[in-house]
Amino acid sequence: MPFAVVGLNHRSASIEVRERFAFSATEIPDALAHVLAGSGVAEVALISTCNRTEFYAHLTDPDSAIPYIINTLARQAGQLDKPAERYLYVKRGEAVVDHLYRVVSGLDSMVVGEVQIQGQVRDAYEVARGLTGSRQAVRAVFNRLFQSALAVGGRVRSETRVSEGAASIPSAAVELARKIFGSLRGRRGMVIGAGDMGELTLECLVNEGVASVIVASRNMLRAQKVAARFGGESVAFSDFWKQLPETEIVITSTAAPHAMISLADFRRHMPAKLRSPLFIIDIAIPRDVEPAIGDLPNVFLYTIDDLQHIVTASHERRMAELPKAEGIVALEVDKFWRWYSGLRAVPFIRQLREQAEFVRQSELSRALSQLEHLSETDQQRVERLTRDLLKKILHHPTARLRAAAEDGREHDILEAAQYLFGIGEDGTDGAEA
Amino acid sequence: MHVTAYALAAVLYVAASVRYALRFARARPGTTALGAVIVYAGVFSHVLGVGFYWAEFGEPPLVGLGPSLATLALLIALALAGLGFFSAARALGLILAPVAASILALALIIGIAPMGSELGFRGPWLVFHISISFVGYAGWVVAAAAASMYLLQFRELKHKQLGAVFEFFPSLGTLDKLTEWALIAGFAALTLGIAVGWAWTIRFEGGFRWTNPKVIWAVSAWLALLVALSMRFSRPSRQAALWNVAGFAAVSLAYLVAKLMIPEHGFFL
Repeated sequence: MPFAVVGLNHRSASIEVRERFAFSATEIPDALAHVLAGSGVAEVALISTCNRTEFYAHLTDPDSAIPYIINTLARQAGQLDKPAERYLYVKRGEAVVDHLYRVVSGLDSMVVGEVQIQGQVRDAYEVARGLTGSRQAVRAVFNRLFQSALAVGGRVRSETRVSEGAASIPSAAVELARKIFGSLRGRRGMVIGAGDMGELTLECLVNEGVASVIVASRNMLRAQKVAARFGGESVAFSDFWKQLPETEIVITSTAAPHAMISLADFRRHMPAKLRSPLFIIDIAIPRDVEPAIGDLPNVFLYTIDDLQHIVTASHERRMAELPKAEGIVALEVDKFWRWYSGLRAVPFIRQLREQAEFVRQSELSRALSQLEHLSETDQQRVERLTRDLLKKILHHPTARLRAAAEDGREHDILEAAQYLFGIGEDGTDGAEA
Repeated sequence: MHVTAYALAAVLYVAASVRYALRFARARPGTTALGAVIVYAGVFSHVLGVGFYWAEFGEPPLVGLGPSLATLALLIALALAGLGFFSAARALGLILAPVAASILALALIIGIAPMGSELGFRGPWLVFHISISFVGYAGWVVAAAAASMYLLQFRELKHKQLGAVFEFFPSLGTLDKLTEWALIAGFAALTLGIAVGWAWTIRFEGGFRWTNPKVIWAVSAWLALLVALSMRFSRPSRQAALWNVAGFAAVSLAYLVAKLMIPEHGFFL
């Protein structure tokens, strides 16, 4: 049971609790060094995002290491209303590989299939790999584990549709905007009302390249604050009509009790025929925009219900892909575990080769001392002959031992091999014992 | 030899069409690299076919219905291959790959061999006139395909029925730009082609024969393309797309009618 994951996520703890356990980017190297300094940990990595904080460890002594990691997490969280252990889960052995592969593929995320986690796991791996010397946190096994995990994440996303489609209202708005305009770079956007959801949607659009942002709100302070955040311009609520003809994407999220953009007003302020598309995202309840405006040429009007339908359809598609994604994860866990199990035969194989090489060299020098009449070329031929013979004789036993270890049958077979070749379990010469 | 290469190209265009159709049916994005790679292979085989034809008959495949159609198919496939470098534009293969495959298949059925009749003028200017005119028609085919996709994507977005068209087709912005570029390229090429043909007809035949059906059709096509282009720069994109598709359909239909009703040997294409 050499692996363990100790941590918490969105299922085991609320956001308030998760915040307490979270490590900032600058705290992570010290946290890793702290865990390594405890007894029984050979390798360690820490994933800390808004939805999870998890220590992954390769252990030499699980009995002392796991409580030590739990203590490290409890110390980070400080005083809680319940003992830290109540929020934490511990997984061991093969379940750790399965868990990491599911995490990196987005199958364990709050929004199934989300893609950010792939980058977050990569960052966690890079930070752990960056520690060197006495603080070296990643060695051969974790290199293999995390590299394979990132490959699994990529495979799941490319071979299934688990990450496709919009996962939230703002991302649905972005997806639609992309289908209308293509690139959003340099597009002009306006948010009317500046509620939280409006601001979030604007943020997503700005991240996609929307450049010129206008914020119109009855609350000028709020408008100025939002505009300053996105490098935009705030205008008085009554002035939004002046800005509308120059705008390509409009987000409305006011608390007005009636539609504040009526068809009659729209016709009065806007050109009769819009040359370029106007995308209106009405996320207010009740609606801010009279539905008939959506029938006008080149106007694309989407309400919060329309966007929610897109999110729901996309969620259903993602869920339908889960079995396929989980199949890939199971296959890859098995592959990793076979590789890892194969490592158990490595010390014996190394000792076997060293012993055989010792015998070869001593027998060769004895034989060559009696064959001094041979030319240098012929002596080299004899040397090569012994080396090739040894390689061929050892090939099958070592391959079979490795395969047996990968299949979990190494115990009996290794014991028999140790007996036959006279090598001890710890790699010493068993014949002498 | 040339027939084998042409036939292989047709098979590869069909394979690319199937690839695009499957992606569309599964509502996956139309940015398939495999579809583009199959088109590249088809174009390679097609170009080999042109080379073999030229070597065999001593002239490029530009004269006669079969050779002309085969060359038009090549230009459409070349345009599609060019679009293949831009992942957002690959989805046009849904229309252009089957169009190229159908035209080439028709050419193979008719027979890709020289017509053997005496033409008004030969040599490099004839080659240039026909080639550049074909580039113009191919440009219009691409523009019409992009405009058709624009109209379908527009409809899907407007009616909020986001299905296979929404997923597979490029954005309205991309389709609009593609239409514009293809129209500009097609119009410039066809203008040049007609101008060269006009100049040489005057020089070698003493005047421009306005009653010749192929002249009437070519000038009508040029006018329709001019209208589509002017609409593109003066009207909203959807209206421009409608004019473009309608104009292309009318000119294509006029060609078919003329081809069937006027049994004049040598009516080009």
